[in-house]
Amino acid sequence: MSVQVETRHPVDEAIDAIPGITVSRALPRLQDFTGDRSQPSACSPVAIFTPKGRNELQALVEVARTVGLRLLPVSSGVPHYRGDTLAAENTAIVDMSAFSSVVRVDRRNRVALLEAGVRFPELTKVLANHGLRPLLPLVPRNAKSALAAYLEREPTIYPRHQWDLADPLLCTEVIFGTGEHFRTGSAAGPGSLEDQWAAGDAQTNPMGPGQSDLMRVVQGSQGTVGIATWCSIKCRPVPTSEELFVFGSADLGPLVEAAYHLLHRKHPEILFLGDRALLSALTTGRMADVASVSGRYPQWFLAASIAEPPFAGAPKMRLMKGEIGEMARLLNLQRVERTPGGTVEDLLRVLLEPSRAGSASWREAGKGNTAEVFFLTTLDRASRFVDIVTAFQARYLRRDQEPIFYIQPLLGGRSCHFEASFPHAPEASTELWRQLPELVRRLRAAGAFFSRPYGALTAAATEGSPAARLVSRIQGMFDPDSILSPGNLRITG
Amino acid sequence: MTVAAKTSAGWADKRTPEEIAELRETVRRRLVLELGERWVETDPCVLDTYSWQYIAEAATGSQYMPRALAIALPADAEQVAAVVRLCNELGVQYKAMSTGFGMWNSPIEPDKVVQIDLRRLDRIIKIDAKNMYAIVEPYVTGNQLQTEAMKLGLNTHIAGCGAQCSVLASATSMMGQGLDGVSMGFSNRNLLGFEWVMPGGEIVRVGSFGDAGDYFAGDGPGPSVRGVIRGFAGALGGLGVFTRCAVKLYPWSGPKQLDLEGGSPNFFARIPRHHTAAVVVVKDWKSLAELGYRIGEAEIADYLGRNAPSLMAGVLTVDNAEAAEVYKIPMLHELYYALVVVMTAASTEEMNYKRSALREIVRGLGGGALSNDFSPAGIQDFLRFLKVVSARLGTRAFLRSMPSFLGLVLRDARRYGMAKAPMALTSLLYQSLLRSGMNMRGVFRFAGTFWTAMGSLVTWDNAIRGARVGAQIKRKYIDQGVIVDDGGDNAWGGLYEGGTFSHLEELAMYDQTDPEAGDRVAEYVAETNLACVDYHCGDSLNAVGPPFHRMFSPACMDYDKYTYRIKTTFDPQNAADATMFTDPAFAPDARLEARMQAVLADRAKVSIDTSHAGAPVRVLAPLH
Ligand SMILES: Cc1cc2nc3c(=O)[nH]c(=O)nc-3n(C[C@H](O)[C@H](O)[C@H](O)COP(=O)(O)OP(=O)(O)OC[C@H]3O[C@@H](n4cnc5c(N)ncnc54)[C@H](O)[C@@H]3O)c2cc1C
Repeated sequence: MSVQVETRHPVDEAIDAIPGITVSRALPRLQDFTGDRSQPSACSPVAIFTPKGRNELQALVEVARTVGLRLLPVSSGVPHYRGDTLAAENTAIVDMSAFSSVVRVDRRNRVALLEAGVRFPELTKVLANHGLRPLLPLVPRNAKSALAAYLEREPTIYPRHQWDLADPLLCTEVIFGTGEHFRTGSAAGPGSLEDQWAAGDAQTNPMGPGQSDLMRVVQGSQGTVGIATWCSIKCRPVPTSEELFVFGSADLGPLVEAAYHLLHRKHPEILFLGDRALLSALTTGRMADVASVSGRYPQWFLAASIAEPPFAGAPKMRLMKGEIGEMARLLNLQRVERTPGGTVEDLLRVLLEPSRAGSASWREAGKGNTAEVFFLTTLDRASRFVDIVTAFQARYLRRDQEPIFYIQPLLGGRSCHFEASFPHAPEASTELWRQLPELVRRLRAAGAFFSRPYGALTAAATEGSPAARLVSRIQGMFDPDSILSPGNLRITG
Repeated sequence: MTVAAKTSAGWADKRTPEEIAELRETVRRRLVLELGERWVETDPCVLDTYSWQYIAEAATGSQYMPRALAIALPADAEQVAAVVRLCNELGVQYKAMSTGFGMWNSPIEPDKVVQIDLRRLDRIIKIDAKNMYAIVEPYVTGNQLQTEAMKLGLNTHIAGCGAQCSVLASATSMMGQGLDGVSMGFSNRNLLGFEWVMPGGEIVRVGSFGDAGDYFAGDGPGPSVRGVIRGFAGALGGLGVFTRCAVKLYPWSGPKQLDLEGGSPNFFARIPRHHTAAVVVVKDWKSLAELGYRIGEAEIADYLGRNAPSLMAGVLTVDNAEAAEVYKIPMLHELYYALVVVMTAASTEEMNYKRSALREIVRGLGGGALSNDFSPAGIQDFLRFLKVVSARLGTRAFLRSMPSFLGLVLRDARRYGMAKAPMALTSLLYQSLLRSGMNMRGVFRFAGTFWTAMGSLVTWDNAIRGARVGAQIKRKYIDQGVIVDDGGDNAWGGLYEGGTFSHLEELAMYDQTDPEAGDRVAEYVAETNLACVDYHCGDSLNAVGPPFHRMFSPACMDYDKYTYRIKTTFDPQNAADATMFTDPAFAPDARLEARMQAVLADRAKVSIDTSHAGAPVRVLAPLH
């Protein structure tokens, strides 16, 4: 006679342990996470938990540890592009969409506190009611969670207001992989958030508490250290007036000089550089048709806005415009008055909002899919990477897989995010992704620093990296059982 | 392992003097093999020169910290790593120091720790003018870096400890407050990539160096190691040794060299053409709060800070007698609601804009300004300055101030010449702010030394709240005659990153040769720490090291347990002396315990006044 030992599925154990938690095992929902745009078919998650609040989330992490279930937090909606929302085996998705509130907006301190599920459109709208605006990445996709973007150190288009690569992220609340609950920065205390608010504090100091900065180890960890429930962020006052300048040049060099000049003078609000394809993708949603735009639009452009400051605004605007005009003359820059999609004012409006609901990311440029390769460098090194990407594309990729170049100065111009996105037809994905690790290796060999390595490019981006060795030690301190985001950022250096 | 087991391993109790001497000799011999005879010191006289330290009395009751086992002076990162590995091998601890300004770079227990003096690593490796960063070694001071940076149109953040201090120590290991914070941030936030001799002796280059051969970025790949090595404060030597780091520099619209004349103690700095130095005064705390927020948001100030009247009296004078006279002038004595400002510009047009913006802000708050702007509008601002002060003082006291105030101007005419006399005050202000040079006159000279309290990094409103709480607590100790009567409110600090966060610390001056004063000041610090917790004024700048974590960690999400986890993960041998870092098993000795009991038995009465703060902000939705 044999005794049958009933082994229960970890998901069932979790459901039993947390009465009332919302869970779905419906195939159509699971399929949302069974692959993304970078890898159409991957492992299927075993369930989707939607915790209603911090207590349920903490209970879920604690139970997951004991029953051996792995958890992958997801705050943004589909589509996902980078492979960081792909489930590994025996992994449940933690859908953070119930954490949906903008909790507090503080105009005086220029800070907002928002939960993980708040997406950029909602954030932008709520902040506007208080005379503030978010420091947006370059037209983020509509369903992108603001907290997730900032936790990923996604660059924003406001380099002058980035004092630290961590900006605009300030404080966070986290449930670590150990199940421990923590608040970082000045949010830690003394006192609850309510106590701090009553005392005039507003979670604006990102450092500490004490002699470590745990916000910095949660940030950039792709969900492998802890699950953030809310964060506070720096915001900008909405200016009374703002003007966008777009300058063009056949070469990147003069525009890089212009960017340095403007940032050293601390004038711009928004500032970024890109190629003609970017200008087209941003303003028309499509890749430029070379024949139609090549004569009319320069190969490279720089977009920079200036905003009227709150006091003595008119003389400051005059001063900035005068200096910008003089700079353009000296560098022989061509002022671009119209973009492929409209006026420069239209472009400014585009830059101040996330993408519209239902519209695809500009990185797809109307082709149905995209693959991003991005890293950190400095502006004066950027053109060497343009050459490498261009040569690689010509030699190894299809002719219709030209890149979109986007160069985003960071930290007031001290470094920059360099990005080549490859819009492509969905059926060409597999082949393209096969090629990209080699591009990453070549870029690294030329000095590219892949500070945010994702998905299929992680290995190529981190092989032999000295600090990469520290990553697993950091992860081990906060998630000793490796239950969080098991497919992400597992690097050995 | 626990840090406590290691640090109180009983050597001090059990070792005989002979055993200690033998250990010292062993360590010396092995160090000599690594570094050469010349670069190892065990001579007691030399060891004592390292031990004589600022606020040593808080730890030892004397002005000396315990002696190190030996002093090692490595020449480069490889030698540092060799020393660290040797310490690990021999089971002794080590502690790094850069420029060595304070008891936190000394051991707490005698004859156990090798002090690694990094003065031979003294090079500015590179200044990248375009990308606005510098790579420095530990012994490069703020002064040196600023001098070189200015030649290239750049400037550097210098912490309030002064321009003689290490740039790297504040960026990697210590704190980073300073009055240039409004435009040049906080040391933690200015750190880019760095070279780290990890606690076991392995050298790692964190950030972009591995790939790019340069240190322009310090975060990644993935999570940032910057969060491991420091928080608002660093590990104070408790987590290895930093041998090189990159820090952000900032645009400088000024001359390649400051134009200084005269000699110590009466330097005169000629304020460059497009620069403004001003003391801006308003009528009360509420207006001061507004003033800070508005100047911060306007992004017009390069330096912005709050100096209380007593500190100003110190900075403006060359000795205590003169300071006492100046402090008596009612006009100066009552200059509580004031901020000092330096604005720089590249052109007349830009300076005109900045002056207009400042004027709009100050006049909007009913305030005035004393500055080096002698235009009609500038003179009007000065008249408004006098009006604000006279309204506060009453006409009679105001008029009584006039002769002494004119006396000050005459003094300056004698010192600097008639033509420069009207600019002397703003010139002193300008140079003190630019070189972060207020300590000697502003705090040390009054009674010998000082300690400081409150000073959390919080909103400007909350910083002011903390300053007001701190002053009330301090009044108790002033009334008891153990610290200098500086008016009670001697809150010093400013705003950072355009006003994103701020700090105001409550200075307390005392005589370090008076054991009672040393003890009572420690009580003052303990009491202000309790007040930070009770009145929600953030985690104080004293929230550093095990005794203080005991007070703050339970009130702030038990943060110290995570710091301890970092320590044990990266330094399982506890080789880096962590007595200023983390030790959850720390137990106070009888002296500390008695101090705490004394505080708890007699706490100062504090009344909370929030009239300065902005209107309450409605919460839009509850947290889930
Ligand atoms: C009068 C006075 C005013 C002050 N005001 C301010 C202020 O306004 N703002 C502020 O931020 N601080 C202030 N401080 C504290 C200040 O941060 C430190 O005194 C100063 O940074 C330390 O001096 P230092 O640069 O000489 O570093 P050190 O004394 O050499 O080192 C400071 C700490 O860092 C550790 N350390 C130093 N170098 C290294 C290294 N290379 N690797 C590992 N660990 C290292 C040391 O062990 C020590 O614990 C003040 C101190 C004094 C005495």
